[in-house]
Amino acid sequence: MELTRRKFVKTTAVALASAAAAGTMATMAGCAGEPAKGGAQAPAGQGDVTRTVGVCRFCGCGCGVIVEARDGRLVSVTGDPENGSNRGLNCVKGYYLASALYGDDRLTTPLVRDDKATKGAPGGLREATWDEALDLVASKLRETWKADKSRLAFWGSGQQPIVEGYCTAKFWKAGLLSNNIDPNARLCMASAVVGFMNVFQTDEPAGCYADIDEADVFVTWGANMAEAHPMLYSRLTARKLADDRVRHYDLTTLRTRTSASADKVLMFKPGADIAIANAIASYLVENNLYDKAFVADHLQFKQGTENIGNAFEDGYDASETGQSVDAVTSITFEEYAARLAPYTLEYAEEVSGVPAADIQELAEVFADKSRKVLSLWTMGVNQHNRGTWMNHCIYNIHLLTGRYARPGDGAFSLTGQPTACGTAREVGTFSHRLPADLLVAQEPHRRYTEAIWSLPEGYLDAIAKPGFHTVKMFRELSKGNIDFLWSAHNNWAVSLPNLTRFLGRGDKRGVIDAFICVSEVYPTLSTQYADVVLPAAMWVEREGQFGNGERRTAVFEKAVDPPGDARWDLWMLMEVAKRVLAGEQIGGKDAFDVLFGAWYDPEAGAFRGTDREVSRAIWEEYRTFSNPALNEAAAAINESAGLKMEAKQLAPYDLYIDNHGLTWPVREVDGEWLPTLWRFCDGPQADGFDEQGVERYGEHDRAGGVSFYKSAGKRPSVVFRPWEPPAEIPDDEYPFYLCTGRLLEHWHTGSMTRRIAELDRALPEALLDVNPADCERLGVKDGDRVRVTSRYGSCDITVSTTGRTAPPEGIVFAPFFAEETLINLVVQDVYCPLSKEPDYKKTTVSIEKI
Amino acid sequence: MKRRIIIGAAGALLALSLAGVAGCAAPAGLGGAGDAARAAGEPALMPASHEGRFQELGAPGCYGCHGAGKDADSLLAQAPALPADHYVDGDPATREVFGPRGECITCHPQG
Repeated sequence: MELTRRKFVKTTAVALASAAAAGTMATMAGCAGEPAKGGAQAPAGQGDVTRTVGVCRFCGCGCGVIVEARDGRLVSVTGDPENGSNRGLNCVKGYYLASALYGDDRLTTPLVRDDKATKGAPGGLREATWDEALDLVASKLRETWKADKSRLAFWGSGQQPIVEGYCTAKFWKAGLLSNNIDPNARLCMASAVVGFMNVFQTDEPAGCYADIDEADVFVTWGANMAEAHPMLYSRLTARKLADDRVRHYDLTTLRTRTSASADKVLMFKPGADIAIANAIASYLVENNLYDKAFVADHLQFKQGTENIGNAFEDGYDASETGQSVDAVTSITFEEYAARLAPYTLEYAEEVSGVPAADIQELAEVFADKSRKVLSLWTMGVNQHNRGTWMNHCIYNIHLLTGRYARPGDGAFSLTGQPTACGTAREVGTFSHRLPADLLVAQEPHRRYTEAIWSLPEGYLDAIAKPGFHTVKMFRELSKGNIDFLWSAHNNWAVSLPNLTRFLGRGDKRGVIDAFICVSEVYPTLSTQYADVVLPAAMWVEREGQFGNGERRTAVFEKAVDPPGDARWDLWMLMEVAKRVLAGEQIGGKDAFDVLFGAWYDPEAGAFRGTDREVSRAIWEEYRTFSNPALNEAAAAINESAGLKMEAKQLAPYDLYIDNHGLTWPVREVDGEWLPTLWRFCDGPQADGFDEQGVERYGEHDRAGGVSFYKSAGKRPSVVFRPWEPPAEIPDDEYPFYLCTGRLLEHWHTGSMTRRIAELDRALPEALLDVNPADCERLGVKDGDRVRVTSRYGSCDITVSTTGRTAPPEGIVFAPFFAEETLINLVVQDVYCPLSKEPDYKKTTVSIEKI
Repeated sequence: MKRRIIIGAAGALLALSLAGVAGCAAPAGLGGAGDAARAAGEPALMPASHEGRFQELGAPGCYGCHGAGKDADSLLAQAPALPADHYVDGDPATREVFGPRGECITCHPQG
């Protein structure tokens, strides 16, 4: 299999051989490339052709691409055979990426709104100069900052490149001393993050995509990989085709394209996944089928606060329950077993609707140590009113059976966005984080950050308390408690839950009154609520970096210039920061200069160097967080506080370009930087194992050949989590569960992919998938328009019984890509009390024909 | 799932109704290989007449018409042939679709 793949890759690479041979994709001006077939899209004739290395702009797979441009315009995007994440293949979104830059209505000029009453509709924005727009944004931010810091906010993204996210976090946390910064990754990965932190005390998957090639059994939990992670799903089906003995179990609340490859679909009632997982764990313990050596060597057991209710009310976080949700206490293995005991197969069947025999069959799969089992999950697990708990429950099963951090044998949390890991999580653009997993609430973490940012000791004590998480931020906005909001790399007015509230349809005027700055590439619903729109350079119109779901950091090189007056987001940030911090000092020095002077000249209004040089300079500072030896003061704190910051070591910038991406930790061995594929797994570094980490911090010869050196006492926590019901249960008034999600052709809110003619044609409309029996009861048929109504709001949509998903009776599905079918008007804004990630999968609704 | 080998694929195709087969012969311009608007590397979309085909038959259903190309025996001469890089070893003579290429709709959704 390996040989075959290699051969294939070589074949594909032939066309690119001249460029790939150099390792990097230096611009080859004048080279005649493959003649482009494009007529309408590509300028005629031969011109300057460049080929650059990139990473796909869309999902968390993080596929490497080769970008070809001619005469300053992209003409093709193809898979990069040298990128280890996708090995030369893309999905349809990736192949059509070039077209995403050339929609007819690209924003190319700053826009300003003079009359707030025009918000919420197209129009009302006029063209402005950069100076006017930046002065306006900066003056509103400074005014708010000086008056009341709690009333400003930045909403970022898992699509914001790494150095941009790093600078934004630095400006917000150190420059403004504000924690009111959160990314849209809160909406997709927060439950996974809190799960990782609770179980392993480190936010990272131990495995990598190569696990897919080695697994014997796949278990997908609440994951429609075929639509949402296409290249990983292709890899899964390829593995299945290569070996008749490979099995796939799909645990889901509705049949999806991912179910097509499953040998067995375990269709459960929404929210009942925890009961199933606990029944599996219980069966393993009860029948002595767990891995005793692994348990003895590696694990500790806990239980936590239970009966935690739901975050319906704005005051939930501050309530007694809300304040206690993170609490855990240690228990013995026997006590853990006793907690599991009520979760018999029969009880799980009763709660979930899945036959006990099927649950037992899956438990036996986990018990069979002759086979490798890989669990994969995404939003069904994370966007869950008990999302953090369900992450725990999957790890519990894998840890009990010694199936974690071993090649092909693990639990892999799939990421939603291209750099949700790289920026939101690794850089830490969350309201409670500092870079590199550090937390604002921890004193040594603040000291360490101050050392690297050249801040006076104690300077960051002002931000010891976390700021607003995403839902809180927008709830406060809707109540009129936010005066300044800057959003970038996202489209909140389509993607947030409960838009009925957040878009001010009702009494809430906050969204109209607040000053909202939106950095965008196309007009969206979010720009309709903006006071200022800043036109941004898109994707390869500047250099950037993404960190994907398998810890792979990769660079996309600048390939073309942005159109018109569109500018790099980082330039906008520098210009706003320069204005806001004018006259401010940090430790007796000019504040802007302390924070950004190394790469930006405020007098000239320009970067000190090219995109490459600026990215490298920022990266090298960011890299110091995981290479403390580069900073004497930081190294001392790392040592005295036992922070183990090298555990997530990053390499010098240019190596990521030379290698078409590297998975961290990247270790320097005899002058060569080697990536790590299998974290915490002992073995040769050169083969991708975590030899250096285990050697330095861990122990050799432990059960399973792994050592969890980042975990407290080197022991990950198995935490018992009970089944508790969804926030809302269907009743006579709202008899259906509504589940929302992504589909293959469209990325998130469709602001880019719907401007690609082929993708728009392939999936032109958001439909409501309904079970035929429900249709009959409702008196509706394919193509009928219906109104979907929840306790929160309503939305009109067209019914389909032949859509992408096949829900069982009582469940309906709608994708969220279409702004004209704004399904998030209906979706609840209830979130997991631990992670604050909203539950997009279980809003109860009524459906009526219109 | 069965291994997608060409012999089996052709058999699966023959089982189709005539009407279904006729639907394979898509005129250029519906996102077929002849679509001049596509740039290099952009995969063709399946024509609307192929609706449900992949879901029902999987890759063998596509392979029957688009497989092998000039080096072998695609059943319908008008159907755009799979490029060589879709095969194991990049070689149509293997008559075996390279594993990850078997999820045809990942790159060729319905147009």
